[in-house]
Amino acid sequence: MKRLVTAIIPSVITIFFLGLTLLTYLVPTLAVVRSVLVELAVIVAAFAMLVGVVNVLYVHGTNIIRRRGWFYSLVLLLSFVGVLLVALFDLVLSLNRVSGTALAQQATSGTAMTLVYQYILIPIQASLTALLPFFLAFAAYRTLRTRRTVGSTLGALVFLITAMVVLLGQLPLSDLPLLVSSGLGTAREAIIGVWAMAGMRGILLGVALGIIATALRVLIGADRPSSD
Amino acid sequence: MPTDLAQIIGLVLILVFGISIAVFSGSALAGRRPTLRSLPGFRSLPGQLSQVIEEGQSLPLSLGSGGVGGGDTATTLAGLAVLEGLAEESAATDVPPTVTVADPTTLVMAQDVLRRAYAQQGNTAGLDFRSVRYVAASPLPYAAGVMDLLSNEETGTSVMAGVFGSEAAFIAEEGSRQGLIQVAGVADLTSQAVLYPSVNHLAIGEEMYAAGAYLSAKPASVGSLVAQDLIRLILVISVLGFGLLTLLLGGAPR
Repeated sequence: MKRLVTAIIPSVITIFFLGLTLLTYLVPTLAVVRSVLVELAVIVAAFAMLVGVVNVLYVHGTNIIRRRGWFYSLVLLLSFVGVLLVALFDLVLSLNRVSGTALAQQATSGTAMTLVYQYILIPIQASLTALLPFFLAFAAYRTLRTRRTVGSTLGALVFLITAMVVLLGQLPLSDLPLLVSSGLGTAREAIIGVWAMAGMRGILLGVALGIIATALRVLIGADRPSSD
Repeated sequence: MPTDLAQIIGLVLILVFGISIAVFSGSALAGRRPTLRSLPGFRSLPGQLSQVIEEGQSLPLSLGSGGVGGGDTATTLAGLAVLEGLAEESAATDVPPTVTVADPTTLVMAQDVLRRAYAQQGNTAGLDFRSVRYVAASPLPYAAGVMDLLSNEETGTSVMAGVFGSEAAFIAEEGSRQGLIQVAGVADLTSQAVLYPSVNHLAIGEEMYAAGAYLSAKPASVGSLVAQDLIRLILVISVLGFGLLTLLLGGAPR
């Protein structure tokens, strides 16, 4: 009985809905069924978000109690409570829609949550993104230093030369002789348009096969990600 | 019924693929194990896990920002297959990996994978659900959270398997700074490019989906990998054949 509940029924449900979703792509008239299934999945995912919130509170609450990496955990929990209060503030404002000028101003300049996003979250994320080129440059430098076998050194050299040619080929180098600058431009186009494109398509083809294989394993019941 | 040529080709491909997986899985189940192509990162992972466990440390596994239910489902399931392979050994020794996720649906799935592994070992009491951590809801904060975890966790190895974008560079850089052996399996082209200089073993493209065959050696995973290779070979020959045919017929691209 336990096996029926924990293994057989979940597998049957998964296979049925996966097969049905696949069928909706092959029979266009069934597309409406797919949109209903997607809506159901969104509702289930919303419940998963509640589990996520509980997980965050549990993990970081325990960190604070055990005094292990407690400072960042405290900052995270305080931020969590702060943003929650801002969201509640927004909610209260939207409930009292008759309150006139303040609400009109709120409507034109954005809600409090939008302000949090616009002036706190987005600048922080943009700053982090701006660091990415430096991280990559340092990683490339370290690659050249640490690769030890002949193959890996050759790979690192190809990586470096390709990166240099693509970067230089993109710069408006008017002081260089025409032959060099146009040669760099042509080399860059050949690298991006032929070599890189061919490699990318090959990888994407492999990824597509991997995705199909994963889905088919679930469809034929060989993989059971949601049951014992 | 499908009338579009692309739909018919898709249906035929799925049918051939499905039958191939069933046949090769059956063959693997009957004991005829094929020789798998070399994927050093995933092949060495169980050994590295044993070493980490012997030293009483935990293995950080980053599953990325993908979730189950959308376009990232297959890649996330491939990441969960890596967790499944590691969880079995972890459950036996009561040292769970520290799993980080950025999607609540993946959180629930990862907790379930760990729960099943511990249940199989009859050690459900030893499972700490804090082993799976929901770090953030978007990629960049997630990367920042994982960087913090790697800097505080005493470990010698870090594994990334799942959906990543350019934020993977931050995680890999922190791993390099800590001197960790890093194994990564990613499907996204951007993350492959940014991870190449930093990690020790990088599984690219469809290699990511083969991880389950190396870690758990389940007949279905092994059969699927062989079928995948066969279909890929057919596709490569088709692409080359059609390209040659186009050239011979005078329709060469300009």
